[in-house]
Amino acid sequence: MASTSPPLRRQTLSLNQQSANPWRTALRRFVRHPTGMLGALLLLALAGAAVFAPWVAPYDPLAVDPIAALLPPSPEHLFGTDTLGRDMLSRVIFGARISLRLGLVSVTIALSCGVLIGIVAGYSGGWLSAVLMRLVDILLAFPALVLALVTIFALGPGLTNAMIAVGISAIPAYARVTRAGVLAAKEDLYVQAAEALGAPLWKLLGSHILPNIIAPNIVVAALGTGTAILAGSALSFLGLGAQAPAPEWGLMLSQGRGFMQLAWWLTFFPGLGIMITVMALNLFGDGLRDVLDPRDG
Amino acid sequence: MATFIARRCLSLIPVLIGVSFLVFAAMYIIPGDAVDSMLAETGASAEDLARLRAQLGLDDPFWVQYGRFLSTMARGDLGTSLVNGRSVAEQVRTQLPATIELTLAALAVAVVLGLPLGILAAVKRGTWLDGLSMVIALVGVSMPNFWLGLLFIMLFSLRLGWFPVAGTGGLDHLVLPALTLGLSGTAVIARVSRSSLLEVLSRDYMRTAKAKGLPPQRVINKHALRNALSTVLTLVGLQFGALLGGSVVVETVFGRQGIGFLTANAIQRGDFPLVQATVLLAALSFVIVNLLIDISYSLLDPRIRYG
Repeated sequence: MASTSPPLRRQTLSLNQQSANPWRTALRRFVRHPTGMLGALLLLALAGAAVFAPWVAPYDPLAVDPIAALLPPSPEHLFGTDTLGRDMLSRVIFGARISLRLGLVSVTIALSCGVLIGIVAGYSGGWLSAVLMRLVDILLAFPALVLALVTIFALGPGLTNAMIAVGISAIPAYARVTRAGVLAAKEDLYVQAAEALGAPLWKLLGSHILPNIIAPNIVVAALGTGTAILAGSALSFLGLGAQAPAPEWGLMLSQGRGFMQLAWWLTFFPGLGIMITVMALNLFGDGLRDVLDPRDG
Repeated sequence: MATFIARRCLSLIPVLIGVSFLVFAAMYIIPGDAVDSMLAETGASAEDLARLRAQLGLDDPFWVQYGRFLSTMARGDLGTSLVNGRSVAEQVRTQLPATIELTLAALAVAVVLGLPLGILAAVKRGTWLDGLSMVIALVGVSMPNFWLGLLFIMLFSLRLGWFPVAGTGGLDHLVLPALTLGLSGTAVIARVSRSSLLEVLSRDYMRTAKAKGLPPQRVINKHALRNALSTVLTLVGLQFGALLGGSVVVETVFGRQGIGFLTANAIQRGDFPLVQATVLLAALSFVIVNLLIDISYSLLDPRIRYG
């Protein structure tokens, strides 16, 4: 996104009130972006299901009922039941909670560490920048899932550790995007003017540089949340993420594997849940990218 | 050119040392050590544990242990598995061919399907063909590969009986895992090659080529594709990393032999030396493939060589 210095922003205000707030302009453009809006609406529905899961889900996702084991989809159990007679629809709805939380927490870890590394590396320059960027290079030398596996091995299996592992594996993307943004913003006149006027470092970074690196990071975060959900559910599928009896989609797929011939619904619906969530995030992220960075649109 | 290659190779040394440090440190911070894993169920006394720990040098300072780790790795000695006592190097050697076979087959699927899909979408921009290609690509990037693998098994193995459900063997054992692993790459390559080609198609020299009266086929093949290919080539290198990571999951789904399956099992069983070796191997291959991509990139575009 093009950077706008405060004086230039005031000038633009006087010339054209409509385009004064770039975020409002972006929002207006996003509302007119059909696939982006489709993604946003899907996400809203998924988030609604996740937040209101106890009221939306027809049954307790952990309630075992051996008599109702492996029932196929029917009006009583729309997605069927699992080997312990638990309602699959309720488990899939509660699964949205876990997956969205996993995506958000992982991305928050990656975003905060990546932005911090990127800002320090971009602004400080010199040996500190070199050391930090070599660290990022080292992280980049690992395929993302392999890095997540190493982290899980060090921390031990579990949902929280899976979130940390996925978050760490995504740090390099944010560090690079932020550093590139900081390097570009540093050369802008308004930053140099603020420096010359003696603006304190925190103000320079927080008020002048940070607003200019937010937009690309938002795009990376929106698309990265989908990738994080895929990676997190892969870890659970391998038995290294969420543990039973948690209704986590990857774990549910893994548990249903042994019954594919007998009960297709055990593997079908949790996978569908992952795909729809990731697709919604991709549509939303693509829409944001088109709106916030028109060059790539 | 030789200087360029030498410079790129030298720049890898600190990265590889950093990678080995990170892997070693990750294993070092885990509570418990190899001795705990080896003698966990034997009821050995605390003195026995301390003696064995001293024998293996596990009570040496971190840097001494790391130095020893580097020197044994450099000699190709990857240690022995804590679970079955077999040589790690031998296990890696046995499993590696199956993973190379799977990764190359998946890469071929990704390029052979993804590139034409992206070209078609770019050339027919705005038509239903473009829309369809991009919907396929969107579904491809959003679908977890372990789910796709299970759907393939349900349809093609259990229902139609066309392919075996699991195992390693001939071509019939390779088709479903390669398709499963390659389809997400197909989607990514299709999306990127479309946008890369669209960007090239809007350049001035493309207008000149068309204005000269060159046939559209020639304009695309000779001028557009060649210029769009370098972006796609970089992506292929990145996709190789995704495929290496994905092989852990896909080999587990299909019960295939391979480094991925070995890694997943080693992590579940807490087999330090095996995890160290397979993770280092994955990072090393990823780094080398990206180096080769960089070199081929510079062959395509001389500005990079001399820049």
